Amino acid sequence: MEIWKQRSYFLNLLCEHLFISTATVILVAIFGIAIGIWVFYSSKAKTFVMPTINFLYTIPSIAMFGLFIPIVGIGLKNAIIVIVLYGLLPIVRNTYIGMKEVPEQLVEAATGLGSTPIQLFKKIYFPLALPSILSGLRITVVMDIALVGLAALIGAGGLGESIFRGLNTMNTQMLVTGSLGISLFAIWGDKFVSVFEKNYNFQHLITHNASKKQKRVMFTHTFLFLSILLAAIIYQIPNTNKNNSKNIIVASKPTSEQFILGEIISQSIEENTDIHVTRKFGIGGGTTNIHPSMVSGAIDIYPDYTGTIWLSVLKKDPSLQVNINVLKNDYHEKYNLNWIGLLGFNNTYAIAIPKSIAEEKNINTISDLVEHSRDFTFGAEFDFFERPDAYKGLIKVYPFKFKKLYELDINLRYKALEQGKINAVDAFNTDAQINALKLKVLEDDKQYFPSYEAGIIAREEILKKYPELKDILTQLNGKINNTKMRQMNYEVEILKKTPQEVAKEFLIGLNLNLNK
Amino acid sequence: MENNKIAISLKNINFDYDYSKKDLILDNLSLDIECGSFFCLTGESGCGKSTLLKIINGLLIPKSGTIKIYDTTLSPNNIINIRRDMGYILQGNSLFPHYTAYQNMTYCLDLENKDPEESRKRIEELLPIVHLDPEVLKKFPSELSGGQRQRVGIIRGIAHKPRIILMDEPFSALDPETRSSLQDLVKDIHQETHTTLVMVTHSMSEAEKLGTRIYKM
Repeated sequence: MEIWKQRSYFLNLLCEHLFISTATVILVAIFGIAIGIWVFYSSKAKTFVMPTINFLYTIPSIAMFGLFIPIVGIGLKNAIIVIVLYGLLPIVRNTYIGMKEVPEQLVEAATGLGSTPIQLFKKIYFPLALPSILSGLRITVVMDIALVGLAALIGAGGLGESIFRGLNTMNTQMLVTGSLGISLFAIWGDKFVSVFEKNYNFQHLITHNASKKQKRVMFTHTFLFLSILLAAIIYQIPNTNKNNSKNIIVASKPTSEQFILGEIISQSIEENTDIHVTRKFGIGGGTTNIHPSMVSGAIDIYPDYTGTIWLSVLKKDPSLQVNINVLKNDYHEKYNLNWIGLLGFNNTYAIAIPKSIAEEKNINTISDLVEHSRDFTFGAEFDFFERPDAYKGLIKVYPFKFKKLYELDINLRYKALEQGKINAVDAFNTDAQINALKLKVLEDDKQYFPSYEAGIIAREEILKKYPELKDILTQLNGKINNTKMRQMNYEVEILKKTPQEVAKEFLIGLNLNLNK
Repeated sequence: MENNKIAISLKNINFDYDYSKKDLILDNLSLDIECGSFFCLTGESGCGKSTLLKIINGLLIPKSGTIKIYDTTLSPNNIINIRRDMGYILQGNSLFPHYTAYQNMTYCLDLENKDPEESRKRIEELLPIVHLDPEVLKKFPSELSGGQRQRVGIIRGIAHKPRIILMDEPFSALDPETRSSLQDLVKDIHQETHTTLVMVTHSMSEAEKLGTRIYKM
């Protein structure tokens, strides 16, 4: 099975997931219980802490990851902060409620018998609140493990990486393995905490009256957990050692194409130097999130497109055509980032129709399609109809009169075409489905669509630190044309090869071996 | 014997839960309780008898007035030490549910970090007095009968040999037979130890049976 071949990849993700979950759960438990106690004793704290924590909980988690990018960048630090903030609510609330619901009569008895406030807390409030705290912890554990799944979007690793990779490369096996892994992991986490919650096991342990059986069951589960944690640490040691020596971080956006390009960049560096590459692939939000991390130095190298840099980063007027020299200069001056060169393909918007119809009606350019547009039903994603540089501008240059327009989800538009619901579609020039569905990409004869030529971007400092990188990356310039890129996307998305395999085959074909 | 000395002295106590109210629950109350007496506080419900007990224990602070326990005026600084010289016995369901019967019994001894071996001896000494089987020691309150719970509560209140024992309706939730046997038990303890006992009860007959002095509020 495909998955079995990649077991070391999944094991690594599982280890990362385990580490992040364990760290965040421990931090949430410490902070959450402390804040819960504080809120219980200070009515002043209660008035602002509870609303704040409730508010944090209502922010969608993806947005929260995004909010912290300008402050702490992408990666582990961001993931831990966000997950801890998120996990606080159940445990703070349960600690507070657990203590508040200790019966008045018991507090009165303990106080009346001469307990100091500290004794009252240690002997009465805390042990009696424990069942409630532990049930809060169970919620937190499950939530944390699930949230760590999202942290892959900001390059923190974990099993979520497999889910997003599966989603973005249309690889169901990866998607299912990642999801199933997280579910089983969460079930186990819940089970683990429930051992302490059940039969007042942990409460009895801290009040020194646990039975041998209670102690045994808690010890066994803790031992099992620590053994797994230790095994994971030992398994991961070889990876961390490499990090200490020469290391660079290569990132990619969450698309098949970017995974492949990221792999091509990483493998050509690994093949030709002794630098270790840390891969942070599939960063959610794309350029918006990767660019700040490039500037801050959290990422060293990644592939992007001229149009994106021109419009989103350099904020140039959309009516201006991309000028590669201006782009290189401005980019370097403003951000100290280097645009290495053009890889050779242009992943811009395109209009595609079935090859059979194109041949039958002799349609080769978008202008040709305008002539026949009354016979066509056009479908595109919502974004295409919204963006000023897409449909709105398009119909001014090419005055279409389509029979009907469909707004579809980006992933469904090819399905709709396959089922014959539509017969003209917007496409990205290098989409795998262009090959798979036997489509013809029409020539943009009036040069309407901005150019999205792919290239590699590297931080100035990293090129100075490892001067050999520039040669290696420059070697890739002009080596991937539209057909080649489309073919590689096809291999990943339709033939279900891994981006690693496709990148490797490409590099072998290229015979780019520099001297090691 | 400290028979003629005053154990508890209350002077001009004013108290109400609602500070704005004019009619107070306790209005300028003054009261002396002699050492070694079995003092029963009775009265209708809501008359303030439990409130008075809590004021003696420092659980409630009066609007005005002074409380002296063996010539020491009750204040926030000495309240913990004074409480540790008092036993406090409530209804049986005031046992700590997360501690075993034994741990409940040694609660006050543990507060003062008494030697565990000494505590064990003390409890062993008390078990036959309250007619409890050593088997109950390892059980949790939820596993005990009402009468057993109250007996555990009594040991918890007297194990540290307090000079004053406060009891708030200790027998109210028990069946008549158990109640009667526990009343006898408390009476025996009082006669043997001559500890000052202050008991709140709504039952006049109980007060008459046990008290050396009855105070109707």
